[in-house]
Amino acid sequence: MASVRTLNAKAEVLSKGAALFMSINAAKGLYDVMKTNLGPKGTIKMLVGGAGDIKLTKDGNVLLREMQITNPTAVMIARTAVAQDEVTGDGTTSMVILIGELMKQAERYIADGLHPRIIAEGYEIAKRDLLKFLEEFKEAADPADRETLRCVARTALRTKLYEKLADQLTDIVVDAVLTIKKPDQPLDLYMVEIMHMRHKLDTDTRLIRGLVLDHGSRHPDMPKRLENCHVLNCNISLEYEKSEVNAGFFYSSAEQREKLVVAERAVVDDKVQRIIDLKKKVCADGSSFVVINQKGIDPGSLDLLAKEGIMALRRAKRRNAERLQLACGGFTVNSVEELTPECLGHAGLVYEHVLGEDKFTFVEDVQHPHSCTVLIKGPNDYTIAQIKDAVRDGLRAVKNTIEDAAVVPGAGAFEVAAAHHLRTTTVKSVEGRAKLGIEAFAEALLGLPKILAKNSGYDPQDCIIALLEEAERGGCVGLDVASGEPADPHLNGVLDNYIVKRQILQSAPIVASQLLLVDEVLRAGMNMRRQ
Amino acid sequence: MPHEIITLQLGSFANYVGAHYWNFQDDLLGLQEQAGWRGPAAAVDSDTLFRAGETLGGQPTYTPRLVLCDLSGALGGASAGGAFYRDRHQPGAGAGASVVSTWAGAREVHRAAPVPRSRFAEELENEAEEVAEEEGEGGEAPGSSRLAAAAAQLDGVGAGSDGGGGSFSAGVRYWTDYLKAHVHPRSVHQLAGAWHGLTPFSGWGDGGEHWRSEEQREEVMERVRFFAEECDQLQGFQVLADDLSGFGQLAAHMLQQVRDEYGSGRPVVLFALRPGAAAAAAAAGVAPAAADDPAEQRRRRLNEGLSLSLLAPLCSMFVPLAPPAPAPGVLPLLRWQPGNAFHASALCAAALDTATLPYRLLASGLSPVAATGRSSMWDLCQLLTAQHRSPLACLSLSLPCPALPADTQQAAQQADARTQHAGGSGGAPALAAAGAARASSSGGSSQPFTTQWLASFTCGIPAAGGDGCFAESIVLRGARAAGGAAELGAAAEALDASLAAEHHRCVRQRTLAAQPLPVPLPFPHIWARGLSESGDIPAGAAGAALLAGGGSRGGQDIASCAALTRLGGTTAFGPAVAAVQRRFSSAAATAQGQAALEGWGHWREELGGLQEWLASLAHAYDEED
Ligand SMILES: Nc1ncnc2c1ncn2[C@@H]1O[C@H](COP(=O)(O)OP(=O)(O)OP(=O)(O)O)[C@@H](O)[C@H]1O
Ligand SMILES: [Mg+2]
Repeated sequence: MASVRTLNAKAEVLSKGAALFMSINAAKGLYDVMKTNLGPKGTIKMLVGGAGDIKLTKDGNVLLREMQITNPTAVMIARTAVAQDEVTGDGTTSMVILIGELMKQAERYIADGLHPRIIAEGYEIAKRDLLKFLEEFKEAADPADRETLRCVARTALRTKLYEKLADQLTDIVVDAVLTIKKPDQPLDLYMVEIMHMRHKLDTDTRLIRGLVLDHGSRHPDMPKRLENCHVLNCNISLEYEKSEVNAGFFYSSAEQREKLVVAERAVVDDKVQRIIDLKKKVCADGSSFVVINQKGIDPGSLDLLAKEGIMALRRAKRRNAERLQLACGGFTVNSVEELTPECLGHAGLVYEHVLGEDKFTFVEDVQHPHSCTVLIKGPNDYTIAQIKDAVRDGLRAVKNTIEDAAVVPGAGAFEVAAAHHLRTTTVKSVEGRAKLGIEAFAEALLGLPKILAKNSGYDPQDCIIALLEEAERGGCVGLDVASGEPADPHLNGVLDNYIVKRQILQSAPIVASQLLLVDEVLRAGMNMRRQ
Repeated sequence: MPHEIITLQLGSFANYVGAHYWNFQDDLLGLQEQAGWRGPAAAVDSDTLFRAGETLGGQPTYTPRLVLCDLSGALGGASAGGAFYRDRHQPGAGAGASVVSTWAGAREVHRAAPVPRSRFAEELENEAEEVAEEEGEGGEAPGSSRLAAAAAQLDGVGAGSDGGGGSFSAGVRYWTDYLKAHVHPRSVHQLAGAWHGLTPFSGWGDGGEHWRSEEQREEVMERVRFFAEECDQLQGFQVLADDLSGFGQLAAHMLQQVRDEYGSGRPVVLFALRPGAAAAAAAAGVAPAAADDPAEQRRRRLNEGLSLSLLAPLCSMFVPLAPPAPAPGVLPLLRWQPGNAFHASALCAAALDTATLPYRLLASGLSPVAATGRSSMWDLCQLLTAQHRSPLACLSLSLPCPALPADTQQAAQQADARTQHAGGSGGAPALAAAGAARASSSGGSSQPFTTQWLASFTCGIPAAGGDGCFAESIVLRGARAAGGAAELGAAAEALDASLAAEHHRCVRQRTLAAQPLPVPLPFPHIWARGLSESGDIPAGAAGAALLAGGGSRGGQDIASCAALTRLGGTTAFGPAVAAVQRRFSSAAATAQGQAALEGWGHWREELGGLQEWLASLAHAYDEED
């Protein structure tokens, strides 16, 4: 990625115009690296590090993280794209492309002597108007309509994985989100656990309505598979540890020390006994008992539990305690005093799976799960990582759709319509040279469908002309990447997230304007320092 | 059953030190195996620091219970996946079409310029393969002399002596260049988007953006949990941290979570590494900032204040650690370059390996008596920090440690006759009562050997904590007497006598181990030429000349060496902390200082509290109790 890591100049020594020139170049540098990524026919990038480690990605955000970016302009653009990902989970490539296009278009006018400020003004007007236009253009979506959710998820996934794999994951991510959805509560995607296993030649992804933990019991005599289980979800230390009480206390004799150790041990044993008592009470009918503890369980305690046929896991992560509660019912118990049959959850099946030194515990067959796990199998770390990223993207796309209760037709349809709107409507609302800024913005927007066309192997100019003609006639048109012809994206179910588009429209022009006005900013900064 | 310890290494220099530390452990493992677990090395319980595991292919592994953080690219030519668990199906650099199984469309390969591994790392792997091939056949492996030559090359000694290919550059560029131990892939965490040698990372809060999202936090803490879940009796955490850098704030975030998740009953011992600008920059792969650069000075003052007020309170024990500046009489038999990260880190690691022995020893009764004075990490922290409720401790090292006085009896007579010897062998800390005055620093052999070549590794604090020392843990390993290994009993006697002769009253815990500090092959060649294989100095004038600083470096044949460390609590920290507070306040009062602090997420409202905390820490030592 050498192309984007070079320029790193001291701002003070730049003459007027030079900073702008360098800014534009840096933006173009990033643009060039990212543009081949875009869309379902984009290029996947395999990055081989200095030590031969491989990373595989088609995601703008991941790619940005792997580039060594030092140029301040490029850093600023990259930050904007990262923020885009944090807020919406998608659209990072489009963001970098739109900023790059806005800079490129501006460059042409500046070369003709237009002041950057005029363009920045035009961009601001265009932005405000387009945000309004987006509100008209977006389409209401029923969050309960599974088909719409599938379309959005599939559109996102097909830009990251080949079709068959993407389609398989489509149902998984939609089902995952629908599983954790509770009426009138905000969606918390953390309630979907994403777990992976490395498996020599197997690439497979499954949705498990329940939980998969990446550890197992730590006692050889504990059962490895239990059915009809009561699940105790607890946060109770079951190990002998030095407690605060002893702090600053010096044992006056070995004997005294020994006594304290014995007393501590008795406290721990008592806690274990209370759990065993509960087990005996609820398992009289032949059901079984599983303990999933966030704290430690020492060998002595494991022994006692194993003798009772209890399966016990220690040091579960806090998130999994939350998920467990949502998956199995019951609630987390923080002290043995709170132990009651009501606090227990239930699972039809709990079993352990061993893979090399890694153990996994599956908690499955639960009644009304509000938490689930996407389990990814892949042949190597970089494949797993890439699928994991894609699953995250898919989950976000579904979540956004539900929260927005809206979608935007994709395949360039919005960009084409927006450019048309700028040229026919917005431009009339301004006088004089600011019109040029609006035209530049329209041209920049068309950069996205052009790149989609190019990446799909078609002539960008031909495609754009065809698209604009269709748009002229009214109606919603995008690029059919299979034929290169204009087509209604609804026919292929190519739907994007509303929030993604809005966020891009909001940020890209601001960043571009800041970069265009870099000379002024610098000079102002220097003046301030001299005072 | 071991009392496990999890090690955290945060920062480039920390990983330099860590690499040496694990090399010591690796040598110890070798010695244990060689001697059939009966030699002096058997007194160390390796299970404390290491875990047994297995690869997907069923190969058994033994790797450190370690989580390390560094910037991306800091591993140089070493794969982050490690050699043990490496993906056999991963077709390395010659990536063909078949490896992309997730995308049907076009593919672009971007290849970073390959970073050559060190000659040493290459040879190490060759040797491992040879051993694997001719398992069981006796005799010296043919690769071992090549390996030794490659190790010498690490330190620029004997570079180019072998025509083995120009792609290997002499000298150390990455800590992986000399790391011998295999590391579990879960151990290695590189900060995504922050690049070794490129991304500025010298300010306390520069790591802030790597702790923002839940994913980032989980990535780190899940690594810790992976190792913790396996532990039956987790003893505590030892942490090496570049605290005066962007890793400082990260360390504070991490330790806060460690505290929350693993309970306050588990001590956290943190070694705050302050190697000086040149060595720190070398480890981070950047050019050092000019020492008189005001921005740099300000940053350092802020870093120091923030570390003491935000990181230290999270630690059971907090030990600022820096290799001493070379000066006459300071570690007189070592010839190191202070700005060389490879050297500076080796010294720190030698001090660490020795000082951490007490909590790594096997429970007594399980091994032939090759060591006494085992102490848990918890007890050690209690001993040194309880009295003044301050986590600060200082560390001094003597390497090589002088030979015991020729006649221990005679030495014992030098001591105050009323001195009560520290009872028996280790166990409860004993009070060594003696006169108030310490031995004068007249130098020469009249000085007790426990202070003779001792160098302070804690900047601003005198060796062994000075007059203000109120508690200490002394470790003496591999003591030498009259050209041979001293018996443990004799060493204990000489140690007590020497301590008595210091005429200083304080609570002491002493640990003796027969096992000297092993000197791994890739340890830098900083020994004065002329030392014996066991680190003894030649008799007479030759020895005196060496002690006076004569002779060049490069004694390569040293296999092991006696060492002594003193880890102590001292009231000398009072004025030192007060000075840090003053410097912090003045730096924070400037406009740039305030802007920097805000950039790191510390707003003005918070500052009063921090300064107050520093002040109370400085005064913690005031009242006598
Ligand atoms: N089947 C399709 N036909 C045409 N265009 C499509 C199709 N699927 C997706 N697109 C378009 O591709 C663009 C998204 O591409 P992509 O996901 O590669 O980049 P991004 O979302 O901008 O960035 P990120 O890398 O963060 O995902 C959108 O404009 C979308 O409308
Ligand atoms: Mg996308």
